Amino acid sequence: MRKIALLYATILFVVLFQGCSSITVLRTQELYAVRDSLKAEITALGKKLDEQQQTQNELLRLIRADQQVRFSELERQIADVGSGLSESQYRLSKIDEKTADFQKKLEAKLASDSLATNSRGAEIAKLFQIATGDFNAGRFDIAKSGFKDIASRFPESSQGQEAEYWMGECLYAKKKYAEAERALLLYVKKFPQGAKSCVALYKLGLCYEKLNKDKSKELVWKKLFEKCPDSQEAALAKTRTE
Amino acid sequence: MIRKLCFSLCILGLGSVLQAEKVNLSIYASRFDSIPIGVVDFKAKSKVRLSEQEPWKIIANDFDLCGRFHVVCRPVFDSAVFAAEGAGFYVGGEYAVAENGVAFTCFVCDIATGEKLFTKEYQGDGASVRQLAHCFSNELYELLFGERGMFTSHILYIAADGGGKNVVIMDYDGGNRRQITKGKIFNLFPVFTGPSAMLWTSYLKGKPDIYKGSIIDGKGTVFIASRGIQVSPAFSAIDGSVAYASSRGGSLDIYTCALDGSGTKQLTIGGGVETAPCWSPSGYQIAYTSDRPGIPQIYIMDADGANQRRITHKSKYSDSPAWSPHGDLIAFTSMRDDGKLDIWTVSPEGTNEMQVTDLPGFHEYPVWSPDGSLIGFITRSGGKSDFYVMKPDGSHVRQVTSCGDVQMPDWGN
Repeated sequence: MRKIALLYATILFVVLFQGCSSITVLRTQELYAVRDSLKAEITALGKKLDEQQQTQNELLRLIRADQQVRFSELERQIADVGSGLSESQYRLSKIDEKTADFQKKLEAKLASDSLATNSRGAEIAKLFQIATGDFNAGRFDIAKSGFKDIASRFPESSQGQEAEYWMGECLYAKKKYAEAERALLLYVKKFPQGAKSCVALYKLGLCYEKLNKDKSKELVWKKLFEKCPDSQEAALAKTRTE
Repeated sequence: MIRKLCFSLCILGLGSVLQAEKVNLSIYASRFDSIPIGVVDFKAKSKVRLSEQEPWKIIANDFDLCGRFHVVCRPVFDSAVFAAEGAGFYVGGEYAVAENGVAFTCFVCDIATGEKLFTKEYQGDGASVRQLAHCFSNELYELLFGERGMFTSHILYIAADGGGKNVVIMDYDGGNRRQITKGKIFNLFPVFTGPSAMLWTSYLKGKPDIYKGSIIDGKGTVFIASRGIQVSPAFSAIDGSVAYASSRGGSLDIYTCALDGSGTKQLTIGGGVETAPCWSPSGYQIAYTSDRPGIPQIYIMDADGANQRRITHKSKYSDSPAWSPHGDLIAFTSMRDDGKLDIWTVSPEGTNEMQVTDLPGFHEYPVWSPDGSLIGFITRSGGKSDFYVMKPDGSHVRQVTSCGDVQMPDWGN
């Protein structure tokens, strides 16, 4: 029984084996065909790939060539720019030199102007001090000459303007009241806001008093009271009119 | 070398002066800081009793005080010492009995040759030695410097005396002291108005009024009086005007009037307490003290009150202005941060404020010598107050008095 079973098993095995073998052959043939087809396809693809590779290579070459051209162009342009920069730098350095030179000249000019202004200011101050010193020492004629010199040489300076007042004051001190009147009147007219305008109005009134021009004195002191109500001179004038 | 040069210049300069009589030698003299000069004792040609200091010492002191000489004093002529000190000439003299008292012969002699370069003769009594010596000093000084010396000038001052304060006069060198007012009342601020006249403030009627009187006998009359106080008279020799401080209007202000009391004018009006007026040499301006900034400071103004302006700014206290005879400086008393009183000077323009005393003690009441070469002042130290002189730059300080009671001096011719 066991043998029969074994026989049946063998027969089954052979039958199955033969069937499977036929299937395998068929399958193998099919596979071969597929393989061949695939080979052909691969070959075609390879060719296509080669062609594309060539195309790409060609393109790359062209691109490289173009880039090279462009690079060359860029290099030339950079060189041009560099050259331009050098030129600019040179020009800038020249401009710098000229600027520095100009600056130096400007500074020198300014220093010279400042020195001139200072020395001019110092000269005016010194002359004014000398004239004032002469006035304080009672040398009224010399003082007047000094003040006249300052007023004529430096008319725009504050001392030059004040010197015009002091010319009148010198004449007043010399008791030349008519001349003092003219000088003080001139000062009051020329410099209505001058540093000595209040004093000048007061002194002008004193000149009128000495010259017995009471009406003029009244008028000029009225102006003094209006213009400089809180000044010592206005107070003095009031004590003289009371 | 310098001394030899000085010596030669002295001889040449003096020689040329003597040839040309009154030649201005100020340029020549200005070459020296101090001219070396010898002074020797005068010889008595007959037996004469001189009541005061010996003339050669008075002359030597004159030359020393004025600050323009380097004085070499010797009892007898000593050429080696004089030459060593660089002196080119020396002063000597003789005196003898004369009809009216004493005859003096003073001379300047060339040390090298012994030649007399300048001789002056004077006559006086024994008591006038001091005056005659000063006169000779003046003449020699004028010959050398072309300007009058101050050797015959006088000082008026106040001295405390037995409960009162009185006016005293002395020679500029501290000699010949003589009390003018007498009594136990307070007298203050004496000023010369002439060789024999003065103004001063007196409490004779129980309040301070200004009196006008004689220096000879001290007799005076009321010059300015009111219900208030009248102090600090100042006299202008230019036109005889008097400036003073008065409280007649309420506050103490500056007024002026003529010496006869007429033409009173108020110059400052209610700005504060104004006092101590002092005339400029031209008589056109007045320096004074005002406390209108809150502390006393020096101001100047025109003699009619205009142009008032402050000229001191740096001190805690400034007072007693004194205008130099040359007009270029105003000396004043000032207290700075150290709390000490010192003499300072400032220009009338208010520039160059400068301390000129740098000595122990308190220094106040500056006055100028009539020639402007010296500043006199009072130094208070150790309870005493004495009169000193110095050059305007603060150098050459000399003590003139040692009585210890000198206050409020005025220096006049």
